[in-house]
Amino acid sequence: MEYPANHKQIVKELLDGKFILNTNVSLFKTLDENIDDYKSFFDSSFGYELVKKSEFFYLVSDESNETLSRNIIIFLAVLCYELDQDQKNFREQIRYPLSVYDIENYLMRTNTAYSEILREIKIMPDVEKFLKQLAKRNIVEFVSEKQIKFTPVVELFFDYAKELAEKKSEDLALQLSDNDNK
Amino acid sequence: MRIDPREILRFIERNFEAVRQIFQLQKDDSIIRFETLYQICNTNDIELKKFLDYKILKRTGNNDFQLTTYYQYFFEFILREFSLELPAAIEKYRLSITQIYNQLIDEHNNKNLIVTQINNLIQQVKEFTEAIDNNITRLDDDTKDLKANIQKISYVQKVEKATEWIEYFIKPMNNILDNNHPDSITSIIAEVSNYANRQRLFYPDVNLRIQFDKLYAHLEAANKELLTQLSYLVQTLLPLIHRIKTESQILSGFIEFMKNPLKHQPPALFKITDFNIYTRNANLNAKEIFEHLTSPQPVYLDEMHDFVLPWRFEREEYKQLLLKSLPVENFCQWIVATLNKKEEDISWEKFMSISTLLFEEDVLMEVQNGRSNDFNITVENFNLKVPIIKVNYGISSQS
Repeated sequence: MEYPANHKQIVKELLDGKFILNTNVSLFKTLDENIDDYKSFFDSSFGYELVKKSEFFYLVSDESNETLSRNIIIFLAVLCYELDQDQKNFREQIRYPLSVYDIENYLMRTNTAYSEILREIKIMPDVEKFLKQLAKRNIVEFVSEKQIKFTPVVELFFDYAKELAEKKSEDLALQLSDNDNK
Repeated sequence: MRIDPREILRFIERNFEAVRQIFQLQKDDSIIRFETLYQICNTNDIELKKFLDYKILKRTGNNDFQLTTYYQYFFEFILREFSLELPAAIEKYRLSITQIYNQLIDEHNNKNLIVTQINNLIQQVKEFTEAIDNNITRLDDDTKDLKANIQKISYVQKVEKATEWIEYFIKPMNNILDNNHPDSITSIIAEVSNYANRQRLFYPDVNLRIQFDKLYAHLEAANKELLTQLSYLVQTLLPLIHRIKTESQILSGFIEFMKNPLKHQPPALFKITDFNIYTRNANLNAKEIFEHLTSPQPVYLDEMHDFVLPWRFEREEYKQLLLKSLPVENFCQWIVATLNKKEEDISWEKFMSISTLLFEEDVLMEVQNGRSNDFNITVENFNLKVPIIKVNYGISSQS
């Protein structure tokens, strides 16, 4: 069996919970060219699913890190809501560099209910610590010591929110039609 | 009697706030109730009859009022308050432009009629481009208001509004403006323009050539304007509305999640596991060892001893020795003698193991009863009195 030259790095990064981005050309290209082999490798070796998106690869295990995933959604929900209130196109804005200071300000000015949740899950007051946790997985990237930008991985959470909204409106439509039938 | 237009304009200027109110009423409800109009006129000290004399308002059947179409357009224009026309309403220009164009092609004799047809075509195309312009201006203003959420509507309503605009206004308008679409009106204008281009060069009558030239110039300008409108619609307005729609969808999803974060299953995120090929608890074991090492306990060293292999009962070897010694008068004495001969110490394990040879089929034992027949041996510092057992060839060895 012959493995690609960067096989060890690919396996290590994915098993470390990192998303492999298309900006990491060498790893992304190797995975892309050997996608079937790698899917089979991770499935038979560990029972994990390798998922391919247009801009990144990642692993999914039966056992999921739900706490981190939930915390990311809460963090994004508050940040995007506040950016929108500030007349910003949040979807574009968070792909550009944002200072940690600005993010802290956005989170601090949010309503009390959201603010309490952020403190409860320990994102606040040490926002930078949470951002470093996300950087370890390539969800955000530190462009300088105090500036971050989100990577394309953020779209995964946006897609999730969209699906949630669609499901909610489908449920509402179903509820309305049930009421009409009664 | 013809009224001096300056008088009308002065009236509108003097009473502009009342005019604005009337325009808003018309826009909201399509009619202006008599009572409301009466109140407006009273408050602003205006003679209601003037609105009718200047033909700004007209009566409806049930004694209410309406703005006349020209003034409505005029106020829409100066207030930049265009009402959004359904593309179906704009579609009427397809029919009018096509019909006049067909008549123009068929008309060869009546020069005055041709001039009228050309002027009508110009008028229809002008109205068409203005209708498109008004719609796009209105959509642009509304989209910006929607983005800024001037009306403070929910994200779900924003999604609905954006979806409605895309579905009912932008897509049909795009079809009307897209030259390659079968519903396109611009493709008809382009065809008329080509016809006008040929006629302005080759029509036999020089005066009509000038008229066709005017038509061609107008249609070319209209084409350029429509192209600009199309490009703004497709490249700016549509992406902006799509973005508002998508962002509102995302935000309404997030808000739904925030209502009860524990109710929803978040997207699966890989859980990092410490891998160890020996055991899943190796890291804990290692931790225990390190903890043990960090709190040293006294260690005692014992002298090294020579390693001695444990005694193992070689049944066959001892059986053969017994068979060679048969007949044996005293089996226990034979055991002691044999072990001594092999320089083995006499242990319980050895004594009992060799004793089992008595039960071999090859030998026959005979126990000498009676106290006087006891025999004394020493095993591991214990003195034992054992019976004297005679051993001889057994049945199988005799046969």
